[in-house]
Amino acid sequence: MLAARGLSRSFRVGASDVQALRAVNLEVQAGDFVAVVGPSGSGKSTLLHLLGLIDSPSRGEVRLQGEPTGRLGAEARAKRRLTTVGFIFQTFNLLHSLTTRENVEIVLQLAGVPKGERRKRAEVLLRTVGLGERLQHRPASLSGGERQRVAIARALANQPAVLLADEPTGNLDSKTGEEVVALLEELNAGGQAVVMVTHNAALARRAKRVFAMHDGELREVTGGPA
Amino acid sequence: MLLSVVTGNLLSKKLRTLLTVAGFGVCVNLHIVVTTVMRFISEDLDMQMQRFTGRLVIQSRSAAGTTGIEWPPISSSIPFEAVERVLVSDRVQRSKSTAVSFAVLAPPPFATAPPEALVVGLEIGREDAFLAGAPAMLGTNRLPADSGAAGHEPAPVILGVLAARYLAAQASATTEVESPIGPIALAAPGSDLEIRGAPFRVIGIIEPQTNQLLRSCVVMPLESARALLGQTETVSAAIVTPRRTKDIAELEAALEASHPALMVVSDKQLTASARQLLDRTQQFFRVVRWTAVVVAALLITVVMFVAVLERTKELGTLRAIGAPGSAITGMILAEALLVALAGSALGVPISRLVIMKALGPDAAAIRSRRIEAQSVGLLTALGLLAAILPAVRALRVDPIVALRYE
Ligand SMILES: Nc1ncnc2c1ncn2[C@@H]1O[C@H](COP(=O)(O)OP(=O)(O)OP(=O)(O)O)[C@@H](O)[C@H]1O
Ligand SMILES: [Mg+2]
Repeated sequence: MLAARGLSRSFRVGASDVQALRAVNLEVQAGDFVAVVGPSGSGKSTLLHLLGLIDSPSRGEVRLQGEPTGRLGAEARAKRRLTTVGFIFQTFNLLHSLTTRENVEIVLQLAGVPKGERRKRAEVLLRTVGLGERLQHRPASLSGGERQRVAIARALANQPAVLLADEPTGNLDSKTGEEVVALLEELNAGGQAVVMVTHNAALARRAKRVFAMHDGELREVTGGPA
Repeated sequence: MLLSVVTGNLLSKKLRTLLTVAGFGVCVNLHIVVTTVMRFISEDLDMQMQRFTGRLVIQSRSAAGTTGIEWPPISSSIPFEAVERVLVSDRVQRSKSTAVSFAVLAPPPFATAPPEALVVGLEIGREDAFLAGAPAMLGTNRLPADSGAAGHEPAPVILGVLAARYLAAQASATTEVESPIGPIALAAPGSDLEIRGAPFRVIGIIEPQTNQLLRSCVVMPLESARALLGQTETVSAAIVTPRRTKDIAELEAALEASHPALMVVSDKQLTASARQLLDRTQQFFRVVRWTAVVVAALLITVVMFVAVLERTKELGTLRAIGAPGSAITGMILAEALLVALAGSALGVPISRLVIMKALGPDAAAIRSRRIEAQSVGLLTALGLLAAILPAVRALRVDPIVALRYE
């Protein structure tokens, strides 16, 4: 469903090349819950950006629902980011001038969902993540955990094939982080494929498959963290 | 929703938004005012020249300055005796020809306008040489036949509306009339007033829908004006109408030949000279107008550029969650459009006030919705064009860089 083959990404910094990702292979099936752990700077975010079509690889390719994405133009990639992947950021990245409901509705609007329907869908989603009572709040008046749950509702809005979460608990205390992972678990139990990056080994253990990233190389650590 | 993001952004930087809107409004105001003044001056000149068609002016050579022929020839002075000889020529239509004396009572309201109040001494019964059929709004447009005699006091005056408004303060009675800026007080027909110490009685007000010169005039018997000015042997000029319109060139040549010391100005020469002067003025106005346009466009470009740069995170987020390029550019253009429309909503009413103040009650009538719509349309369209560059810059925001933003 989502596959990375020989994925490499290098960044030019001054005169030298930083090899952030080295020939990474990864296959995510429908219903999968994949966790990626690894030290800071090992290339986890880089991998997630490539999987989410936010960045383009130096070599290798990403296949999304069987479709090679290497030749897609900027607008086609934006369209797939909108409809087939859902991205959750460590820093939430909500739009501060919009209410909770509008933050979810906006991706439905961008996808062309008619007004009445997107309102209803946004409310259902926000109730699912436990924010049914916070529809008219603005991000500034929400707690960190609540903000991340709005971001999750937004990522789910267009029923993506896969949810990509880059350290979704990185800015949350352990209890709130635990709640967010529980929510992801619950969604996965409903059939939602999830890829989560974290450096919290305990949280990673909750996934069905765990991968370790080290110096741009990815290997599966089946049966628990190394 | 995208619109709420746009308005949210504008509201989050209230002071900047306010200043930008005000700046744009000033440009809109300037554009409308200058366009209106340009139109006003040009139309007024046409109306003045229309009333002058088929006439000649005899004035002194000194009144032909470097800026063209002086009109009205206020600084001219010619021997009365020479004028009398011209006027009895059998080619001259006596009823529409007269000696004239001018005296400035109040300075012009703006540079290219005639004085706000200008004494115009005319021979009794020959008023049409100058008034060219302009009707009276109140009272009469004719000086009574017996009013020229010495000792007949107070002497009569017929006022243009601007002059009547200017003289209202010293008149013994005033009357209110409707105008485009609401009711205004005028020196009333029948009232007494003093002009340079001499007593006068108002006998009529000239219809305002004429031209700025007629709106400003204080028409009185020639003898009264000469007395005011101390012109014992002279008058300012003469206005001469030929008996047959087609003889105007012939009469001009004959007058020039017989009076080499005087200057004879034909209607065509006067129009050409006035047009030339007008063109130079208009050129200046055009520069002012384009400056307003360029400043408005630059303002939008700079402000929107800053807005795009400081919103890297928001734009990158939108891009990362899959907003199409059209949504991004649409947001920036919508923001520029809102600023432009708000600026226009501010600039248009201000321009109405300025025009009424600058051009006077009757000129305010020429302020047209068409000019307002054109100015707003032009500046808004250019404001949008000016936002294209920032919009393209917004498209180039890299979501990865934006996500790394702390
Ligand atoms: N745009 C870039 N330009 C230059 N180098 C980059 C860029 N993005 C990432 N890198 C480098 O690539 C490497 C991997 O970065 P990445 O952000 O993927 O790490 P990470 O595993 O997500 O780390 P963290 O846990 O701190 O988020 C790092 O060495 C980083 O400096
Ligand atoms: Mg990272």
